[in-house]
Amino acid sequence: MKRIYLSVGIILIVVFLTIFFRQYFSVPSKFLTEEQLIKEMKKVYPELDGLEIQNIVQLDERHVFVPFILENGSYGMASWTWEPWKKWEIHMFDSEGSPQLWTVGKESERYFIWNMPLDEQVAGINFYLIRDRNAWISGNIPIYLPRIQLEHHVAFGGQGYGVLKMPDEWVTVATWLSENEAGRTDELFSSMFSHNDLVQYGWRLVDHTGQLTYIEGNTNNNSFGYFGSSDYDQMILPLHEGEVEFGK
Amino acid sequence: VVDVDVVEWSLTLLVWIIVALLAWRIYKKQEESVKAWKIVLLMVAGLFSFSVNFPNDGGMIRLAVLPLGVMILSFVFRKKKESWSVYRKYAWLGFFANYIFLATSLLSSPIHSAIYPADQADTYIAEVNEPALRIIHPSGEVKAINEQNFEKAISKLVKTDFPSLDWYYEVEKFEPTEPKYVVEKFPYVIDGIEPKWGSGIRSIVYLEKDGKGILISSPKGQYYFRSEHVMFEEGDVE
Repeated sequence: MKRIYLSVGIILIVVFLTIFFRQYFSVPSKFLTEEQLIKEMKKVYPELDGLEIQNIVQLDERHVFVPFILENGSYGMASWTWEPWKKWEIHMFDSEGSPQLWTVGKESERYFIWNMPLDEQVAGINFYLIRDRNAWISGNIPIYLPRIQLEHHVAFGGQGYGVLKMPDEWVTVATWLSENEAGRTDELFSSMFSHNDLVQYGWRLVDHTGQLTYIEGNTNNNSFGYFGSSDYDQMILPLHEGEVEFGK
Repeated sequence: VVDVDVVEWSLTLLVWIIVALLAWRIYKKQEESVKAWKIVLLMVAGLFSFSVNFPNDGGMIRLAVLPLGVMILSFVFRKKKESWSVYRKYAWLGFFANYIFLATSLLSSPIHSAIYPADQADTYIAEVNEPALRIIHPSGEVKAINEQNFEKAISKLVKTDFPSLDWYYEVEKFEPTEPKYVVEKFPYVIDGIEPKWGSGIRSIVYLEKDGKGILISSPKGQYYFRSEHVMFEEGDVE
């Protein structure tokens, strides 16, 4: 009798685990239709009236980027993730499409996403990885941190929205800075103030002559943003004039 | 790409061997035999302690003060006096192991710096596989590193004191002008460098704009070296 219970129990556990893992690692068959998308977006942004979906960009099996134009003419974007239990779920909704950094799962898989209004004088967008120059003396030991500024240009080419996977070189550099750089581990109060405050990401618009430029806002005062699930997102800021350095 | 700290690992291994030998001695002397897994559990529980931390040379030193594990165990076995008199020694050995660990962690730093001197370039640059330049600032120019020149240069590096703050203010002194033209002193990072085997040291090796200076930056500090030789390809040198 005992044996029967035991084997039934084991079979139940195996069946349960199989169902669990199949569900957990399930791959979505297809993405939502436009109507479903709009319905879902209305749940987070009820004032949504007219909305034109510009494109549906699949980053990978489980992550989708949707740029759109609102009725008032402003360019917005939403992103969706495949949640094992909840199906497709809205991850982020923003009624204006300034660039954002979307970390998809692993730290190395990060995407810049944006949706900017096209403007005659704007040719594209520059993304930046910046670590500020810094110097100090701790004890008798001098420390100098060179400025790191990496740039990646994306030409708009007829569309103001896009997705850019963070270049491998950037990931490498960011990893070096977080693991190998001076001034991190041996500061007694390093948790309280860190001289070497990691890496920042930023962006600037670029005109047809390659000069940095800006346009009067896509940003309106009543922009609305929703950031749903727990993924680590990073707002990246437009850089001011003095925040980008040039060589000679 | 092995960045294992061999000194640290060997010392840890050594501690466990010592502890095992001591446990063996206790075992031999006692008449009642205790099962091996019990001995292990007793020692691990005994290791548990209230401790005070001191900062030391970039790390922390744990000084065990109160044998919490031993106290808890003696409470658990308060009604089994005979067993406890046998178990007690293993529990105390576990607590004592804290001090063996402490001793070796004090030793590890001097041993490490004897084998891998922190202020010598070849600690950080022991092996070079196709060194590649990465431009990390717009003032860097597209240049290639010459492996022969590089090896010649790093064989004769001279450690040099450097004024970090002066370097900083050379560049950052002016009022923000727009656009901001800046020449970074170290606009390159050299990739493809391995530290001395077993050192577990990580570092970033910056190359100076003139191709003759390198700034080695590691979590433990920075060192600046100058060479008479330029490390770029011949054609790249003005």
